Amino acid sequence: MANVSEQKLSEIIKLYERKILAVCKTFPDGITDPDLRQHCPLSNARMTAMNGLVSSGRIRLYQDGTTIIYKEVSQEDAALYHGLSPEDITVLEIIKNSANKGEWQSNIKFKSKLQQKQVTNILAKLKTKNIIKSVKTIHGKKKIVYMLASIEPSREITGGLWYTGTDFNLTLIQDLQKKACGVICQKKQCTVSDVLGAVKTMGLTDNIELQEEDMQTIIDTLVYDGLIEKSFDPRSNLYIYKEIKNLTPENAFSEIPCSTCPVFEQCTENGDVNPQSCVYLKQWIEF
Amino acid sequence: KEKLVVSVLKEHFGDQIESLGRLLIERGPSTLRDIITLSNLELMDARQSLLVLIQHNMVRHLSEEQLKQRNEEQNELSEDKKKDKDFNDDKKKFKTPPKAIDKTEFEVTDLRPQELVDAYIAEKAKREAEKKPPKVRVFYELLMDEVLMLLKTSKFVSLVKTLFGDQGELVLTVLLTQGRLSLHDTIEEALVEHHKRRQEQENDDDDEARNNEWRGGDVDDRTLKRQLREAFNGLVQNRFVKRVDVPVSSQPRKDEEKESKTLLEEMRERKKSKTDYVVDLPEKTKTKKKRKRSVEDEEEKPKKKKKKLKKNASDTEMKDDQDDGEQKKKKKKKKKASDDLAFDEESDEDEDEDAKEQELYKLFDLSAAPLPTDKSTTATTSTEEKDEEEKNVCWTVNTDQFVRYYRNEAIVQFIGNRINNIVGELAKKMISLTSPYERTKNDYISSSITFASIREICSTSDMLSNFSDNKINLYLDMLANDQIKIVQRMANMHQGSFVINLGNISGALKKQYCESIIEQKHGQIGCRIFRILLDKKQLEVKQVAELAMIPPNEARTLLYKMLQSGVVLLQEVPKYADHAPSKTFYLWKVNLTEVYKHLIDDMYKTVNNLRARISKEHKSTLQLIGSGGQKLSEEQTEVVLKLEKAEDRMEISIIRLMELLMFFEDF
Repeated sequence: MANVSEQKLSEIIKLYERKILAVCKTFPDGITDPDLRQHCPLSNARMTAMNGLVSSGRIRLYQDGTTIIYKEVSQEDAALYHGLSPEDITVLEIIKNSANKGEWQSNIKFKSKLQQKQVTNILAKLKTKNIIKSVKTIHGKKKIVYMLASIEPSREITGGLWYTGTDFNLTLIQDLQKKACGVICQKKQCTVSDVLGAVKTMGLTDNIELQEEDMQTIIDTLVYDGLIEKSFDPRSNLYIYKEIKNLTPENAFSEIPCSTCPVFEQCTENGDVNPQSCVYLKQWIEF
Repeated sequence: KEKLVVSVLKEHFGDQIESLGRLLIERGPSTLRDIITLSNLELMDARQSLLVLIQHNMVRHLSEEQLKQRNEEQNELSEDKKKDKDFNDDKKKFKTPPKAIDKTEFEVTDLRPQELVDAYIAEKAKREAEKKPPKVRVFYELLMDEVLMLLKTSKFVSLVKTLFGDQGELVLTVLLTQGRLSLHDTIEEALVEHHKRRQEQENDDDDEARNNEWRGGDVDDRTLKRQLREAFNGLVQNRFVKRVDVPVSSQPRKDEEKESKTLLEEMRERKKSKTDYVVDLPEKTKTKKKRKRSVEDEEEKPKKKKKKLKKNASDTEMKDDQDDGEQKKKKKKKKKASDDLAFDEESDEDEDEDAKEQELYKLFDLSAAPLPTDKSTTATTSTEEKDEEEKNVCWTVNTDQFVRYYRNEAIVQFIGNRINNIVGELAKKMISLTSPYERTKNDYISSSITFASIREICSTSDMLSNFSDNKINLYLDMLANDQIKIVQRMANMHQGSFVINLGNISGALKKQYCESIIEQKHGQIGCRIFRILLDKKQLEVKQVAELAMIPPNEARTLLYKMLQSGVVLLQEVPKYADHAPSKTFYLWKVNLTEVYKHLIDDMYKTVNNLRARISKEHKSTLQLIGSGGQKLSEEQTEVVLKLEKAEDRMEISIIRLMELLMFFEDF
């Protein structure tokens, strides 16, 4: 009799486990306890089933304010979380949520509400297990973010093509600018793809994957420098770029040292800085 | 700008006028009474100074109504502009508001009748008396732009020299130095100037700098006079010189106007009647139509004497006032009367001119007497009377035309540079067609040109003579489709009429110069940022850095530097009500008009600085020359030469700066 009830109980528990998992699947955002009770009325069996699932890592508990939510853990995650303590998993979840932008250590500490030392240890542990990695950002030399090892860091934090490590690669940009300008001047008028193709054929950029977007940004800087002109071609529905022939004219104001004088604002006739004794004017006159 | 105006007044006219100018700038339009009480000048001195400035078109008078009207209009436009006008308060020397302003009527009785101002006031008072008790308050306003024209005179003179030759240069120089003159006086003065220059050239025989043109034979005065007249004629026809109408009571003038209008219409050979004339008049008399006279017309007038005779009575008052102005000048020139007599040469060709000179001598006689009220006593023949009238007509330099000329030149050059020379040539021809119709100094669009006239004009040019209609159309299309929209098509598709967008082009020119100045000051990347903000209107630092392809730190420092020099503006957009700095958006933007204002201010300051430096160098040169006595040692001559070179360089820069200022302010 006891055996039969035990057997039945274990069957019910297994049934409940399957049911709970199925229900959780239908609620990817999680299911609360009262909702679960509807599907699995027997509280004892339900509790045992839940415990079993949690310990095997198939379900995780989350706290949303005062309510507890149960969410299914995917198989990948289950593998990931295998052998980790709940604190580790908390930290890991935070890092996972930051996707490809990564998370600073101080933020992790704030969100997980754990001690500094604890967080550091956990991060070290996860790193050694190759679950997460640290990435240097361009926003500051000592700024490091943590993200999942499998994810590519986003352009925002690495700077994309234009940053080698954390340093701005000015020479590369200037190089590309010159080449693009040369191509446009030669061809009289061309689109972005033309320029890209031409630059690629020139070589020297083989070790960099130059995309059309990158070329677009370079060409835009040339437009903003006043070297080329942008116009819309309605036939091909693309923007075409032409060289501007008239260069900015020489102007009288720039010839005079006052235009670039660092103390121009303080210069008055009776002040310490005055035109009568101005050194810059003196040099200019004697030139 | 005001500092510059004051210093120019001091340099050209002296201390009294400088103090008057300063007062007028600080207080804005003021009555004579205010001026006297606030400037510690005596009545006669103040009036004298005012007259000198009026003579040079730098001061104009307004009635109280006009002033009120103007103030109302300005109030309507915007309240911000009112705040700008408070600069007067900042620079006021007088801390307490002047108590001397009382609203009693301006007393006319204690002033001498010959004064120009008085005559006007008397006239006005008379008119007002018919309607209501006379309360005449005349306000005087300083025109700062006119004062600054004094700095640009050398450019104008050189331009006129290229267009009209030496004679034109003489005429213009005379007009610039004297302010306003009648035709006859101008020619007399020009002759004097010519002789003076000849003498100087002869004195400087040993000098290397010799102008050989002047030495080419002894041109006799008769031919010279004729040449001068022709040059004057040319200047008037091209609107470089304009007629000044002295303020008079409007009614008689209107009658005369109607008659003279028909007269002129008959006489006039030219069809271009839209040219504008100065109106140095209060608005009441602006109902007068503007008309153009040339020396040719004046010579043809004797034929229409009968019609003129009818206007005797009405001319009296006009003559009175003009005579007042004339007499003032003639008093100054009494010494030259003897010279004038010496020019009286008999010849067949000059009979007309002689007759005119005779009349002038008669007027000289009259100048000693009080106002000639009765026309019959002065005019014996109708020719004389007309000539007198001509003599009383004052001419002055039309600075607007010079501005227009330079503007058109700059526009043509811009188009030529932007596209190609042929199109530039075409644009030049089109502008030459429309420029006589330009009304203000900076029209936004030109008047319309038909395709037929373009074709006509192309045939006159070498470069464009073989162009078919299609080709012309092609070029016009190119101009119309350009980003700046240089030309706009009106009416039909092909063979329609066209209008040149002068405003667009001058806007593009200004932007170009502005960008080059910013590039000089803040570097190529600074200029890049400027253009990005112009294009995208408002951006954050990060976005700016991305678009400009520079590290955000660099972008930030550059933006703050440009903020300091007034090139960019910062807009805070708070996320929360407490405006927490970490939680607000900071957007950067560019306001082009503000940038131009800052640049103009900086340029004026630079001009002031250069002038200060020049005066200092000048003083040190004088000291050196003074101390060394007549003969200077080699070293000293070297130093003096160096200083002179430095002064020249600075003066050239000032001229170029004033040119650039013209671009930004007037175009």
